Amino acid sequence: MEAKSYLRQCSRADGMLTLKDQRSTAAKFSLSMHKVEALALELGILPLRHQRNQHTLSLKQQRKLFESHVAIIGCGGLGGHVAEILTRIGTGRLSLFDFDHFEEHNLNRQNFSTLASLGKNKVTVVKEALEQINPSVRIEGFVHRFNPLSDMSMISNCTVVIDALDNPEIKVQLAKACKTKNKSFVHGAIAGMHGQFSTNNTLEKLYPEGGRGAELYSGNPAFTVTLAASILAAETVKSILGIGEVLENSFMVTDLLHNEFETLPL
Amino acid sequence: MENAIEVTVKLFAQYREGHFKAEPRVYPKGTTVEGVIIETGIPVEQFPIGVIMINGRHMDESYVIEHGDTVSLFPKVGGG
Repeated sequence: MEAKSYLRQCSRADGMLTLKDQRSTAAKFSLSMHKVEALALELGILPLRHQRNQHTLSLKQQRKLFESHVAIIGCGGLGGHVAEILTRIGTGRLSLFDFDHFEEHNLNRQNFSTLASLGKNKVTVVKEALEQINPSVRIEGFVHRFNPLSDMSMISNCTVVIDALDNPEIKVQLAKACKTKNKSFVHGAIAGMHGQFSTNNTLEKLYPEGGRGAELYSGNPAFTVTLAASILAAETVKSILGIGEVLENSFMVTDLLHNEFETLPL
Repeated sequence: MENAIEVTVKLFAQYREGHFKAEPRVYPKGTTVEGVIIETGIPVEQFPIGVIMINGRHMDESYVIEHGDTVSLFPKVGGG
C-alpha cells in the first residue's frame, strides 16, 4: 500500500490525523514527519495538532503556511519566541541565525533559556526545543553572525525574513537587502515597555543614525518581548497568506505602559 | 507675543516619563525641532531620538516649526 492510501485509512472521520498515526506512517514508509504532513495536507487531511487553528486558518491556508520558509535573524528575545509561535502554527521550514550563547541575563525573557541551557549556543538549544514541539517543521540552525551585506544567499529560499536583531545598523542593512532581493521583511524592535514594528519597508526613517536605542537603559522585560514576538508572527503569517493588512508603508508603536497601539505613515 | 507660534508637541514611549503625552506649547518664530527638544527637556542622551514627525510626515531636527504644527517625537527603539 502506498503512503497516501495508508494516510486516507488512518485519518479520522473528522478529517484529522493524530500524531500517533503520523508517526506510524513515517515509520512504515521511511518518510520524514515533514513529508508525511505534506502528503496529508495535499490529501485534505489536517494533523490534529492544527485543530484549534481552524477556522482562523483554512486547510488550504494551513498548507500554504506549511509550504513556506521563514528566516529568523537573531534567536534572542524576539527570535526565540517568534520561532516557537511559527513552529506551533505550522510553518513548514525555519532557518535560524544567531552567533551567541545563553547567559544569565537572558533568563528574564529569552525563550528556552533555562539553567540547563546557560552557556549553550542559542540556535542549537532553540532548534532542539522546537523539534520537540513539532517534528514536522524542517529547521536549519546556523551558529553564525548574519551579515546582510554578504549572507543573503544563505536565505535565498526563504519566503519571509524576520528582523529579530538587536542592532539598528544591521537592521537597516537587512531591510535594504530584503528590498533588493524582493523578499518580505518583518521588522520589530523593543525597549522597556515599548515596541516598534513595520513590514516590507526599509528602515532609514526609523533609524536615521546608527547606535543603540532606548533599550540600552530601559532593557527588555518579558511581556514586551512576547507581545512583540506575537506581532512579528502575525505579520509573517499575514504576509505569507496574503490576508488582512500588514504594516506596509507604515510603522506601529506599542506602549504597554499606557495601553496604546498607534499606526503611523512611514 | 507677536513672534510667538503655538504647536502641539506629542511625546512617545520613554519621553512621556516625567513629561507629558501631548501638550500645546508656545515657541518663538523660527524655532527648530532641535529647539523644541531642548525646551521640553526630554532626556535624549539617555534615550536617543529615533523618529521626528511633523503633521504625520517624517522630518529632521533642522525643520523650522510653524504655527499649528503637530510635532511628534519618538525615541530610537532597537532591542531584540
